[in-house]
Amino acid sequence: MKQRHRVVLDLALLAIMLLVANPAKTGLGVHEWLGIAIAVPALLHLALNWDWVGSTIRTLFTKMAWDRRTNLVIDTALFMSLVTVAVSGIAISRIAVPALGALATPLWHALHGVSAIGVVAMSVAHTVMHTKWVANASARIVPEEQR
Amino acid sequence: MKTLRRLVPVSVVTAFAALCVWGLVTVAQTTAIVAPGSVAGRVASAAVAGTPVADSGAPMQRCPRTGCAATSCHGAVGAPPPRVSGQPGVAGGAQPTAMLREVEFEFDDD
Repeated sequence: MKQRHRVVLDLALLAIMLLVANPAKTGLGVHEWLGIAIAVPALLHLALNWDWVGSTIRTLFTKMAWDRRTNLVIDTALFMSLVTVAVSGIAISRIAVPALGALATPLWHALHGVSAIGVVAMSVAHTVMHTKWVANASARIVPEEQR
Repeated sequence: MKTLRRLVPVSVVTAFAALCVWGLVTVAQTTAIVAPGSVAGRVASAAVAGTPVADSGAPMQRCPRTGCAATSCHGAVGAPPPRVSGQPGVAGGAQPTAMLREVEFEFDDD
């Protein structure tokens, strides 16, 4: 995939995530459907960076640069938070998957709240850790005369 | 094409992680392994009892007269809370007295 497409995908992912994180503004229906739809760009993002994940895990117990190790910790926490927020979100869904409404116990509700905070925190950390890449990639795709 | 091929292991790992989360929560709810006294423990025991739970994990009471849920409710224990005179719209005194007293603040214009 071209660098331009990767930047667009990542920005779209960030924008959708910001929308999903504000159910009070968007309404429950949009929150639930966008929460399900975000799986597509999120899985695509992970697939595009799967080589990095594989090589980092293979060298986990060797000498590794601190930023690479920090990235791995943040990305693992982000992945687990995302999976937890998605599973608990489906369990407590009232509009998108109402058939699972019987599973909406307070524990699932509490888990959804806690993991949502984790997703936001880890997304901010993930974005901060990749600020340089975003800046470099954006600079490359924006033509010189437009800057 | 390469990206699409990579989607297979990504989906497998994600589905496995989702199943793990689902399984852990289901086991926690059915066997009550959540430590009693903790927020999660209070949430779990309230879940078993079928009572609503506040964000803090404290079980909420359902007021029999107003139907509102709160962690503490004057109406739920039977005795009506003291009414504050001169407050419009306080029928039956379902709100805690502390909330009503906040309305009574007087502000000096000078």
